[in-house]
Amino acid sequence: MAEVTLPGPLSETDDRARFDCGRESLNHWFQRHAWANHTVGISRTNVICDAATAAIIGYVTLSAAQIERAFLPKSQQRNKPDPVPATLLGQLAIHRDHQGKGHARSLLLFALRTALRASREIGSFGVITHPIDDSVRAFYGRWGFQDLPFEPHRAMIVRMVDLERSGIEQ
Amino acid sequence: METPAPDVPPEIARFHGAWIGTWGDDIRTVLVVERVKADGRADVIFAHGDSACYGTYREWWRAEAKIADGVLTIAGKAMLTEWLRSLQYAFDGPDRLFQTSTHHSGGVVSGTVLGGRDAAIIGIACGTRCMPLSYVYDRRHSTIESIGGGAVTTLVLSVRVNEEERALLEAASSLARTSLSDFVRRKALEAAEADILERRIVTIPAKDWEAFEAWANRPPEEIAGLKDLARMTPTWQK
Repeated sequence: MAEVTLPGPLSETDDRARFDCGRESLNHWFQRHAWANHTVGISRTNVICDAATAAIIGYVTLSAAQIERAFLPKSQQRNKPDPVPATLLGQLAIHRDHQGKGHARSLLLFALRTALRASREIGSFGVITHPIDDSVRAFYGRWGFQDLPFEPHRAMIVRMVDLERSGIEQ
Repeated sequence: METPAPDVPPEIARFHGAWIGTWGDDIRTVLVVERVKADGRADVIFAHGDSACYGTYREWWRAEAKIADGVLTIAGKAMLTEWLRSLQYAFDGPDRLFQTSTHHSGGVVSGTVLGGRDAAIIGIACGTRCMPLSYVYDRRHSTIESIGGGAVTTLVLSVRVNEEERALLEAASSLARTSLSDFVRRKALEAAEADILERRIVTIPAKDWEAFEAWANRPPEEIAGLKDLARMTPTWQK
């Protein structure tokens, strides 16, 4: 297996154009939007690379999110709860040449540790993700995510308190 | 409507009733199975509405259908719509039929029709306008294809575009060396996936908010999957 760099922030010189995880939506987002979002602070992308060639092996993206109660007419609004701050694990993808080698779960661990550390400074209830098919759902389920209760679009979540209790932080 | 006789097998008798829905995402359609017989013959009324999209006008007719192997078929001389070759109906649930129409042009269009013996549905099917037809419409459509001998069900989603948009889509699909349908499907899915992944606001229905808060505030838990993850060595440390 190729030697892999530590996860590090995406840089402008990273060769995003050659990244191909086999899923066009994730390739397209990475090539067209990752850098722009990263520079303005909408989301943060970290990459791991082949230490010898600097080719990008995988990336993961985190950003702020929130859980809120659905709108109610003013007459029914009473003690409107504040939205719950959360962290969105938006994209996680591994180049197709490097899949099946443990990079995805390694980047997931990195993302959860990063989110947990950040939540000590800026409150966040948990890490949310939106699996786009059943295999991705199974991946997150295997590593401790559960369906966000009552959420009609089947987002998944892991609470920060559960990350802490389960020893995710180094 | 005539109640099925006791000698009518249940797999035939279950078709008896009124079925209503949409077809090709646009055409309102009704099938009334008035009478079923033990040998599989059935007296039916078929009706469909106007469709500007498909250029069809409303019509209705009575015919004799055949029920065999779980499928009700109207074909041959019984088929009185000149542009249709056959209509077939198969159960997709206790009160749900898939209607599959085969056209002389070679096209195949399917739609879900809901129904049964419910008085309101029979009333609508027989012309009673006591409630809006859309009340029982199901916008889900599907085409059943056979690939490699196995049945694969895919849903049909109709999208309306103007001539200019269609020309643009056709040009782009041609450049991508794929069919218009596959091009639109692929691009729409890519866009949908990208939007879903970026969803930063998650909304809980108001009625569930208190229960959500109770769930959120429960004590911390050890989660086996997270513990397994915490124990692993990242690939960059190997």
